[in-house]
Amino acid sequence: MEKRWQEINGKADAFLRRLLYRIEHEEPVSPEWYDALNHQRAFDYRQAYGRLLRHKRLRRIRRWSVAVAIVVSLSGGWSLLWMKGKPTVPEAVPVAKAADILPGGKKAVLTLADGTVWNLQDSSMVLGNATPQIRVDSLGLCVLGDSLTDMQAWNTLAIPRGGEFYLTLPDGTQVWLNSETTLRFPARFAPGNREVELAGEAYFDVVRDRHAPFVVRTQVGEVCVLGTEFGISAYAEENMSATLVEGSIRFDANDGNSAVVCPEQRLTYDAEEGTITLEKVDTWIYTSWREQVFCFENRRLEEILTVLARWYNVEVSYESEALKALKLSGTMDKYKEIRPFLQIFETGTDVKFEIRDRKIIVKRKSVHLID
Amino acid sequence: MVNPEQFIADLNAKKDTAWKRLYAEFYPALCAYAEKLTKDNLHAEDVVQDCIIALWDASYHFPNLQTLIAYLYKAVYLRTLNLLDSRNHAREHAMQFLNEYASEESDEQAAIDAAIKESVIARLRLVLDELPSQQRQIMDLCLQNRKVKEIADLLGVSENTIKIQKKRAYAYIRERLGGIWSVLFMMFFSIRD
Repeated sequence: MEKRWQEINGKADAFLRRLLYRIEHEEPVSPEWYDALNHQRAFDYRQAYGRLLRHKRLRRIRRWSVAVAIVVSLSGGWSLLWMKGKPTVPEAVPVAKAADILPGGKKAVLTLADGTVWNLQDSSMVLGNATPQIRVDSLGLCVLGDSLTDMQAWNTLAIPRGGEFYLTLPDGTQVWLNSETTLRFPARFAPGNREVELAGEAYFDVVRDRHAPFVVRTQVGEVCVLGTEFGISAYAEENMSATLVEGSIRFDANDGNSAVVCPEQRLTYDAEEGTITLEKVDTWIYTSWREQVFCFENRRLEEILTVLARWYNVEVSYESEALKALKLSGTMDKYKEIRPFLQIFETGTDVKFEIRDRKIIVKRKSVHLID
Repeated sequence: MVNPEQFIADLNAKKDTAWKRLYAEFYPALCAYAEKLTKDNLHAEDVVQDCIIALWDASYHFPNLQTLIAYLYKAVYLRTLNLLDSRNHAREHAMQFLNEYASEESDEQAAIDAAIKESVIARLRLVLDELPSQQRQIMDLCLQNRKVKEIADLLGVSENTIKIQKKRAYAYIRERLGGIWSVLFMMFFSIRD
């Protein structure tokens, strides 16, 4: 087999060296090289990659779409079923058996500029003509923002605990929203200006536009973007952080402090101290939530349980403060029930979890009254 | 600079960046390959997409880059052959295409050679994309067999500039493709599997 590899390798090598030699010595190159090159260039790999992303979303949705499937068969397409909800954040998870703590799913509340409120839950994902500028489908929200839309109209998308959501903005930018997150966005972007407001956690894949910087405003400052992929975590009770995967962003804090972030870096901002920290990280750890996994690397138990609490919509309490500082690592499938993870944490550590209704109590496993 | 081991590891872990790179590097090559096999344009892009998406669904863990490349070209080859089976006249054309590559070799060898060629072009395409725009333009024109004087006229710069830029472009290309070539492009392609 090795010989076969060498044979093929040798051929590939020969093809290329012959070509490079010819070009370098200004000897005629067969037109088939340039034709082949252009032939490949004709294929749009970016669009093709986009289709893989959509396929990934659809695969996940199928797990939750039992109700939708029944609706679809009624009219040969997606049928028009929508619910107008009361203007409050919805009950995130229906009351289930006390035994099961199920993972989160697609849940959001959309409040339009005119005040109407739409409750978007797993089983009511539909295409509708109710609002021409905004479409809801099985993937999430799609804001169309045509020229007829009023630029001053701002909409709010609120994701409850135990929820997550995906949307595309009028310029094609994609946004993934995590639990307990609110995004305010205009129905249409003003020319030369793309601004949104975020409280919570989101991952952005921003379409490049030199003439219209993309700005994400948070309570403590704003992140300015040209065209890039990054995640922002701006929960009220935590330090704000922004993790950059690709491209370039600049963070401007309200107190005047400012920093530019390079790819594979994570910025943390402590609003109280007014300090900005930059560190090189494995971005996957901080952005994997929008895929199917949570990824923790040497994180305090307190941080880990905060993330899980948001996603599973549970409360956590600790028997002793010391337990919060326990450091753990691991990767887990978001869409599993919570118990298997807790069991993994219990193995090999001195911690035990007790579940009562939707409360998790963190206890010490061993009880030493006398040392 | 893409480290093959890291790339494969990231691919197996289903990291976005790795899958995006897979599309950038292999999608156009596989499409060109499929199109050459099915000249009546039997949805080459759909065939390639189906193969890549099936790969993603299967969550197969690739031990190394060679296995991945071999799998991709083989999968596309087999899928297009399946399509062709139901269209006999198109199949004849595909056989003719493959025969262009074969001398006394079999169809399989011809398919392998065609895959190797696409693979080489893909590598070159990516490296050319990394060049600064003027150097890239110059290299494109060289590949079209334009002389230095012609290129200088077309781009509105001096012949000297062209020569210097050409040198820089070669140096870069050779650096990117020369040393790592052998490691990156070992391909095994056995249809008898």
